[in-house]
Amino acid sequence: MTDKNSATVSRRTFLLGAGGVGVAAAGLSLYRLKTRQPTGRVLPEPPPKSQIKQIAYGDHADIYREQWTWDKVVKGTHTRANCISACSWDVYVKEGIVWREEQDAVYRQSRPDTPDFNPRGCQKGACYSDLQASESRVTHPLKRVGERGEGKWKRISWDQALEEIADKMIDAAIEQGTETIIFDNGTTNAGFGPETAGEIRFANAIEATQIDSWAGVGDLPMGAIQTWGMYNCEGTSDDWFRSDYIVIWVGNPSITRIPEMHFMHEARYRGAKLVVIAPDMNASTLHADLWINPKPETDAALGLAAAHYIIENNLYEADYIREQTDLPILVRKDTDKFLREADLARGGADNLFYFWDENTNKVAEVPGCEGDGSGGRSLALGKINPALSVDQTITLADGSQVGVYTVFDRLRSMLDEQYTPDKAAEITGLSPKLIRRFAEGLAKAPTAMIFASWGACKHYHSDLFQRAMILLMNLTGNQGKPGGGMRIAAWWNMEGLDNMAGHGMSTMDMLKLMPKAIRGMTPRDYEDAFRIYGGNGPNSPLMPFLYVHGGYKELWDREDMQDDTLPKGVADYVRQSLDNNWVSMHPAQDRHPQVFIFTGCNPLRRWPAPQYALKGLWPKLDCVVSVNFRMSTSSLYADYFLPIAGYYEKHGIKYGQTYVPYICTSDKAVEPLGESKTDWEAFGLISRAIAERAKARGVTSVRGFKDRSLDLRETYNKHTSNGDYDPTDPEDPVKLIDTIFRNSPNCGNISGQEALEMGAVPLTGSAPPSLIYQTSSDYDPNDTHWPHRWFVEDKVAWPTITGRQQFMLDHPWYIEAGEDLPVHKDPPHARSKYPLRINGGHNRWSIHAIWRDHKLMLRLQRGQPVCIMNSADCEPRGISNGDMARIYNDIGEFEVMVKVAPATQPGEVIIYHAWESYQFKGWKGQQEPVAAPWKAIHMAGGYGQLHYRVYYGAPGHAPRGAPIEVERV
Amino acid sequence: MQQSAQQNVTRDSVDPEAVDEADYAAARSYVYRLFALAFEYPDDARLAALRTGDPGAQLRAAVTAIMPDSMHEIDWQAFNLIGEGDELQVEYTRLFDAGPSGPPCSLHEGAHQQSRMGTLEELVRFYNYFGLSRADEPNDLPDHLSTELEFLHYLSHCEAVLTQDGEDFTNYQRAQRDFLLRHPIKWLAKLKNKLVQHHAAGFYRELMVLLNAFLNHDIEQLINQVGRGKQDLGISLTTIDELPTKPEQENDVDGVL
Ligand code: SF4
Repeated sequence: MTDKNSATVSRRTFLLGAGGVGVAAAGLSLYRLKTRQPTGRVLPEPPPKSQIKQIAYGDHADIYREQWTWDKVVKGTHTRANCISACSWDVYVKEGIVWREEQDAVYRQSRPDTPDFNPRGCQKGACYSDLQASESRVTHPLKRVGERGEGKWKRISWDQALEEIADKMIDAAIEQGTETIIFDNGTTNAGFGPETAGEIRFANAIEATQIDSWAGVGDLPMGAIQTWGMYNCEGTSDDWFRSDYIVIWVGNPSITRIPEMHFMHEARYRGAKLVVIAPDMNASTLHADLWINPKPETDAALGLAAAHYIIENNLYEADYIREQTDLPILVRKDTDKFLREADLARGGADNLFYFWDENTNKVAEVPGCEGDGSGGRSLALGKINPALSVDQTITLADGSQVGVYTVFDRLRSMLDEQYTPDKAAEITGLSPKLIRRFAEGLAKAPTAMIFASWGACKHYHSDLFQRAMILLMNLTGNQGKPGGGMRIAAWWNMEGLDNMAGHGMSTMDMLKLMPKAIRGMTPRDYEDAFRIYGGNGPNSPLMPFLYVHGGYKELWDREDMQDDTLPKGVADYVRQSLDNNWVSMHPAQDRHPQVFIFTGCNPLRRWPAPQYALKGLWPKLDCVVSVNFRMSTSSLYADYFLPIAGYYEKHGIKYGQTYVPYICTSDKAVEPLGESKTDWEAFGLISRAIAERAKARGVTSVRGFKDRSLDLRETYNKHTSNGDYDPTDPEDPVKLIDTIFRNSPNCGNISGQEALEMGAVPLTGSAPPSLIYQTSSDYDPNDTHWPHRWFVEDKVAWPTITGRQQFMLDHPWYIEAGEDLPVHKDPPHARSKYPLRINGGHNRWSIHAIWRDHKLMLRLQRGQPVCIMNSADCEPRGISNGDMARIYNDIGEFEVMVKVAPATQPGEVIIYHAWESYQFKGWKGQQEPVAAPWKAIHMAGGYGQLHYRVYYGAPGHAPRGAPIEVERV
Repeated sequence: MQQSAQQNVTRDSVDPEAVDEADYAAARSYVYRLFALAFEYPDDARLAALRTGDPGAQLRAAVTAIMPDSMHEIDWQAFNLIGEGDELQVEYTRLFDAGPSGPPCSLHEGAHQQSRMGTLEELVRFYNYFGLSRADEPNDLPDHLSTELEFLHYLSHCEAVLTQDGEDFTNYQRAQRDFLLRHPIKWLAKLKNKLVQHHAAGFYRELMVLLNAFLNHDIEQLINQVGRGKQDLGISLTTIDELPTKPEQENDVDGVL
């Protein structure tokens, strides 16, 4: 123990030496704290000489005597978490900190006979306040000083960061054009508000290549595109309550649709049957009345066998399929292609098709098809009564005769041959009796729906699963009915969203569309418009981009990655597609990416075998910029990190998934932590820095999109719509939100401020479709909402080449693949030498990688990455529950803890989604062995609905089923 | 920007004993201020100051004045190991600013406690109770080590002024005792261990050793003066340096200095 008095002299000496005398010399200097009125009890008699208040303090219990009060409560949500929901929360603020959030219960019932939406939320949202304050936040701009990924950074000022980044971008633009600046938001953090607006305005202003990750994240339902010419197909989740037979098929909504799932449970209370089709006993299976567990990736065979049963037992809705599908359209028996006008008349159209009309016993043109002479607007049959089954002979233009039948005939004979329940049982491992039971239940239910989710897009042959599912919903007449049809997802549109990007179509483009607009735009017309709009900028779909520029060619050209049911390899399909301009590639193949700027997304966690990108793409990049609120796997390999505000630290509009008929907004509850800035401001500042640096460096013209001349000095003017906006003004986001709401009559014409105060803004009507936002049904506030009413009730033609839901695709690539009709096929990895397959899905405890390493969420799991295996696979490998195992193939490996559970089928290794790679040993994450070869025929174009435009029609990331071996470590 | 709120103290009719007590409190207050500054990011201005050797010398003088007998354990040379160029900034960022799932040696108390929000609540209650609030500018969460040290700087300053003015200063002493025991002392031993595990540069490792030693000394003195209080935290003063910390996986990144 030190004797205090013994130190007196030296203390005095020190204080004198410190430049003053005694207490005054020591002084008071506050930096992180400031003075305010004390909440402690100030003793009544102030000391006569001292400026210091005497505050009564006995022990720490005193500080708890005062009741905790809030400075304010604002409405908030998790604008850019990409959680597929939208929930309004009350956000509680004190001392400039968000402490907690509480679910809002403001949603009204759609109909008196359906349950309401209250309250909405999930456990991630309920602890976002904690995540926002967590240590994974980065709150200062950082610059890498060591090697990429080495973890050596230093803080720099925003000014320095912006100037250096701007210079790198200008250098790239001078060298090879602005298309070599790659912008990626992964779709993950798309919102309806200023966050997304800022980044899109930036990317548009400099004409940077924008990675189109819709398919790249494995979320694009190509089977829906092939069948419908669109992929949005969902309504409000209370509409599920109206279903009598709910089939969860390749989905796990108990954990991925937490705010919505209660409607399925409530439908069961009403008497609906819940069927879950999943190889594993997952969280949704627990609630099933019937669990069907096929072998993984045999779903199409199950669907086709059920279709066979329905047709053979005359359980199909003949009137529905006559009108709504291509099943009655005539097919030439010699070529198995549609009979076209070009076959019947020289110079005839190749997009005009025929029925056999039973009323006239003659061929009849298909109304609503692309070449019907009236723009393919209406599928109404009028007096035509199309035969479903035909055996006729037709005289062709050259005088020859050819037999014709229908798509229905073709389909039926294929099903008879290959997909009887007995044959499908051999493929799926199910009993034929179970398949029949399922088919009968589905067909006899008054209304039936299939909930398929995005998970149904992440297999190599997902499109075939989806085509089979949609076929079932058509045979049973359920598509387009309340509580019925195939459901994946859809978004509300707000017309005011046009203001986000700053510019849309050119005047010339608008003029081209004018005649259609005058007649009233159909979905087909909209798709034409979107193709024009989608061609207005350098968008590259992710998988082809990685193939051409990302270092994956060597991997995906490997023999074992090829689909042996195709006559050509992926390289040939890519070349043909690019040569034909079916899919766009930016930058062009003879250039290379130079700057990569990503926000919200986490490419090195998500991309297949990311070690290939690190080896093949990263060395090409002069500059990698991460614009994010938390440190992610990908950010660890960036050169600059620009810190972004958390969801409660900025104004925003959550993107409007149709599950709930509200647009949720987020008011700014607190200031961004540290030096972080809102996305709106950050991207505005980057644009401004580019303009300023271009001026300072005397850079007048560089090559922009398609090598057109671009003046980078104008970047900020373009970004701000010539000064309409000022991203550095803290109120600017509210101005943008105001513009968006005031121009969105379907949200009640309210002001931005009103919308922010409401938190959840009820829809009052419909908005026209936009690039991704549509349900093809008018919104009625007094009803549940379900998709595709325009087609089924109003007889509007589907935006396919035939104008109908189309099950036959006679594109040459689909014919050579043997996929002109929906079939079951094994994926390429079926022939791998590795015996086990990785499957998985989204998990309960995180939304992608956000929350994945959050302490509160980890406490609810094993707290570290884990895979689930069946004991039949574990025992021979000597693996026990809790052991660490190495999961490997000849592409990559990672180590993970094993949970042994009979819930998993033998042969499957389930590892749920989105662990950060840094949560694994050596930062080798769960994607390392996942090559994810993709379906090359999805590069097809030049055929009605088979085309590419941004957010539509591209090959997808298919990580499921990666072949591996496992060994204990 | 550093805000300064210099208090003018009247020194008329001061009892010499009280001056001594006041000096002692003021010296402690000054030390807390120096420690608070030392754990701020070494921006270019701070780095330049550190290179002069003055801050290290001031800290040494101040701490030695308060606890002259305990200083043999400290490697004072470490405070001159600023490294070349921006090495200290890089090291600070590696240790305290950013890393996978957060920096390896966070300077925020909540990162080392079970409940971040519970920790923050108590800190805000402490600060508010004594008339302080989080400043707008660094806009950091109030559980940063420098904020906690700054609060102790404030409380001990108030103690010094009251002592000098012959007023009752024990309210402030009790508050310092409780705050120390419930906050810095509760988690800094863990941080000290983490700095070792993550091969922190000598500057920060030794700074933490010194801070722990100072806090041990200070709490001992405070308890001597105002007793232990009601709380029973299960912390024995002789073992605060030995609080069990869970062994951690080695970081892939080694120290740079
Ligand atoms: S579902 Fe999404 S919006 Fe709703 S609470 Fe969870 S994170 Fe927030």
